[in-house]
Amino acid sequence: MSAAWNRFTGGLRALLRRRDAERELDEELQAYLEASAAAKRSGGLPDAEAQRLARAEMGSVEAVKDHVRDAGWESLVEACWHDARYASRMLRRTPAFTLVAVLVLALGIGASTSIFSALDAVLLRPLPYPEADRLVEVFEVNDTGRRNGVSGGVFRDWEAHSTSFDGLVLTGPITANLQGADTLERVTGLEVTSRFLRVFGLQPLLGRGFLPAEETYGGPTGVVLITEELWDSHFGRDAAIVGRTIVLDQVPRTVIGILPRGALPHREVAFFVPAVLAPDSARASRSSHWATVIGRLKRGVTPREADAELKALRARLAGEYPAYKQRWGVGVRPLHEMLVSGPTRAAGTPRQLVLVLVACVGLVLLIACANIASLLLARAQHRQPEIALRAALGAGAGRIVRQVLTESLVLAAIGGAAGVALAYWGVELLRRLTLDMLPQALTPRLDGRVLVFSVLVTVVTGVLFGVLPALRARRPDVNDALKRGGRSATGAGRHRTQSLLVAAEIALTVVLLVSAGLLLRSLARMGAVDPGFDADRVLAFDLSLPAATYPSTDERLAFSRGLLGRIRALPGVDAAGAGQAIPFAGGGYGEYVRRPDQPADRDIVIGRVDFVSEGYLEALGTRLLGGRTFRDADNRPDARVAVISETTAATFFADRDPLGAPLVVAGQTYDVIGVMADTVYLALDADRQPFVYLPQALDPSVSAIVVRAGGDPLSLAGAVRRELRRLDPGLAMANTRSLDQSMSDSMSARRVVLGLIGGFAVAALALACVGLYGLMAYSVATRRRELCIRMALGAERQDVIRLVLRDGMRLTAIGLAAGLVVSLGAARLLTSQLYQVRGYDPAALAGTVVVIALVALLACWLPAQRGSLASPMSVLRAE
Amino acid sequence: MPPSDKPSGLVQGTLDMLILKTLALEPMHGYGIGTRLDQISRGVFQVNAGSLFPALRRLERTGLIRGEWRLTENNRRARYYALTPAGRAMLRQETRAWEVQAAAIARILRAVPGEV
Repeated sequence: MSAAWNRFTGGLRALLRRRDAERELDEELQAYLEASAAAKRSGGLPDAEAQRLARAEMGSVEAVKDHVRDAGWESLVEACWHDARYASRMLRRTPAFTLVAVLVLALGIGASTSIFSALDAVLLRPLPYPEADRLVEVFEVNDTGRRNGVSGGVFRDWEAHSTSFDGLVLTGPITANLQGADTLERVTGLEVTSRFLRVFGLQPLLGRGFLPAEETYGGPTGVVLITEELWDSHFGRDAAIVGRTIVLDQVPRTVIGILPRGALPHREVAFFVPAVLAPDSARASRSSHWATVIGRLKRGVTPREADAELKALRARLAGEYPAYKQRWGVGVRPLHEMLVSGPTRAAGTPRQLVLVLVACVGLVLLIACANIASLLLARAQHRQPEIALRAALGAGAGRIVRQVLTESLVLAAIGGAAGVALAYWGVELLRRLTLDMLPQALTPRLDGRVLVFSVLVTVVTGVLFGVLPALRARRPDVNDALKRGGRSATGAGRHRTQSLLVAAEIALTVVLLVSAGLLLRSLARMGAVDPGFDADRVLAFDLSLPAATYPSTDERLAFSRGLLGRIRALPGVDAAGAGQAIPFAGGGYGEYVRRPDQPADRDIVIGRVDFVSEGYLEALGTRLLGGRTFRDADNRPDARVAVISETTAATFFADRDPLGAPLVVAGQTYDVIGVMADTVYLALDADRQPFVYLPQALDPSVSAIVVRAGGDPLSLAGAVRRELRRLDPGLAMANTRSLDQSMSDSMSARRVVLGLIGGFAVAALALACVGLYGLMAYSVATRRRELCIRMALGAERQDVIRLVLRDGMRLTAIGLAAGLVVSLGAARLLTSQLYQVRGYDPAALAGTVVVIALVALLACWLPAQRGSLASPMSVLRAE
Repeated sequence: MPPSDKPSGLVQGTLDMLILKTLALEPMHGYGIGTRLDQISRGVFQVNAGSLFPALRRLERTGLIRGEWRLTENNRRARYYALTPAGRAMLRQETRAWEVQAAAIARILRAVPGEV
């Protein structure tokens, strides 16, 4: 047994059996005294004298016992326990201070913990898959670094030749009409190749995964896996569902298994069907970019090695690739990297989002610390006599520092406990707010990791705000404090420290206010962006035409014509049309676009191609800049006319009138008949893509319908649904929405970020304001004598107010100046969240200055006013 | 204030060694240890209770000595301390180290100018 172990167990025993240990020590010392007295008696002293001498030699029995106790570590535990009890007594004695401090701490620690849960989810926590670090995304990338989806043929190349992977899976998003007993609903799913579950390392809750035969063209492909969420919401958790048939897009499919809740990176997906790449189809070719490929690396293979292998493979197979794909290569990156840097509905990536939030909440926590430190300093002032007394009675400097720090830590612990309780709601709130911004695999959770963080942050906070008061308390001027007979002293140095703290609070608040101001300006800028169409009074909904019931182009086109005709006949409908890339919804196709009189290998321009019916552009209210839009007569499969957007016109026809000019889209030449204003694709703040509108008859898959209403667009939805049902009861209207709502929703992520950071800024402003008020009130209280003498000597009330205001505003100016400088640098961190606003945006800076100045003026004026009201005589008499 | 807890002139850690040595002669109670040290050192080391008992507690905690309640020759209960095997080993080691140090110190103190 080691000595350390002995010491540990001995101490533990002493702690647990404290009474026994104490009694034993008493007894032993008693025996010592008796032995000592006996020795003295035998030396000839009388009994009483011998006992007295023995006692005198030993000195204070209590002191000896203290020394013995100090010999073991358990005494330190006991002392800390005593300190903690003493600290909580002191905190109880000043309930107002304690309440304010705990509240501030609870908010600070609660907010930090909540935001940390997002940081942990996005950047620190491993993805919820076995050996998730072996999961990578494999993508195609061109020589300008532009990433794109993967072609089916390229995926087959990798699958056949690469040796770096345990498995590769190709996935593509799909939607389908899910037929219920008497309901119909459009659901989102993924088509996946058969190694899907193996690559992710997922086990089905019930049933099994896909077999290789089930992704083979002509094989038993009529199978489907569903998620636990869909199982819950649509099938009542009935285990018998496995083996039964469900109807998706009018195709019966056998349910072979159920995937556990939250199993996938993205939460929208409800079902999985085999991705079948029919030989010689466009999907199996090496040209079109459409799929996402995820791979599981073999153990010991790094993403970099896999990247090198696939690049070499690509070079070897170069001969197999079509000419226009010679500029495309391949890249590999960790799946985690794909998720945290992937596009979201937020401004910026998940990584940028959480870093901004963490920085802001860190500032709030710092301000809270400075605030409590300055409160503690003011309080220490009043407690100076008590501390001086303790020092005079023999408490060492270390002992007093420990006492003061313990008090801070007790305060922090109470605040931390309340903060964790707050974080319970905070994390839930954050989870809801970021639903659209973070993929499912990166969902914030309040778990053990986050709780450990909150404990750490509590301790760090306690030390941070406790260290200044503790160092102050270390060297009390015992004589001075005691001489003043309990009246608190005014130390200029103490004032300086508190002033610095308050100035720092103001500076940090300025940073947050400027950030919130910049975000507000960005949102305003974004709201003022021209979407390129008239979003008012437009109804939109999505449709998918099942291949089973509408196998041919003609049938699809006929359906679309029929439906649009019925809708246009409805009262209150001004225009209606079908398209595939509705504003704010994405869609359409990325195709190579060029002018026929320019060489094919000029800069690659990928235009966004949308196949639209006549009436579509009118229903959206897109502005016609020149030429004409499509007519009914243009909507035939042999039509070779195109309407282009402003950006397309500027890209290709800077030197001539685009009207009547030929344009090559995906290898086919079209004549430009009209130019439209640029319309938004996914987001108002994104660059406008070069759009090319082609007649619907060329690809009438019909993915969405837009209807321009005379009145409230959503009130038309019922009538439209009835017409659809009459035409085909097997089709569901999905995502029925008004486009002004879509536009507003597209800014919701920015509003959430603004709300969070604005909230932090307001909290910071309140803290700084309280800090400044506290300092000024305190300074007025300690200067009361001086102020009264001034007034007695003839100073006016205004003079006194001005005197106090000047002090406070000087402090504010210092904090403001420092804060503005810092925020210029901090704005760079915020860049990802800004839109058409510079870090030095004058309006945001000026607004901050005004807000800070007004609030500071108020915080200083109240104490100044009170100071000027004191009656000189009463104050001087009290002295 | 409590009395000074270190006997004057006693190098820190030395007290532990002296106690171990005393107990190596025979198991002893607290007062006996103090008296024995006083006697052997001819009154140079007078160890008071304030340093003796913490040292005993320390040594017992580290497992170098073991205490048990026994009757004294006067039929009184007292806590007797005895060396453990670990304590004996420690004493041997400390003694050797002390002799080496003491000899070195003595050489340094005897040094005359010009030496080295």
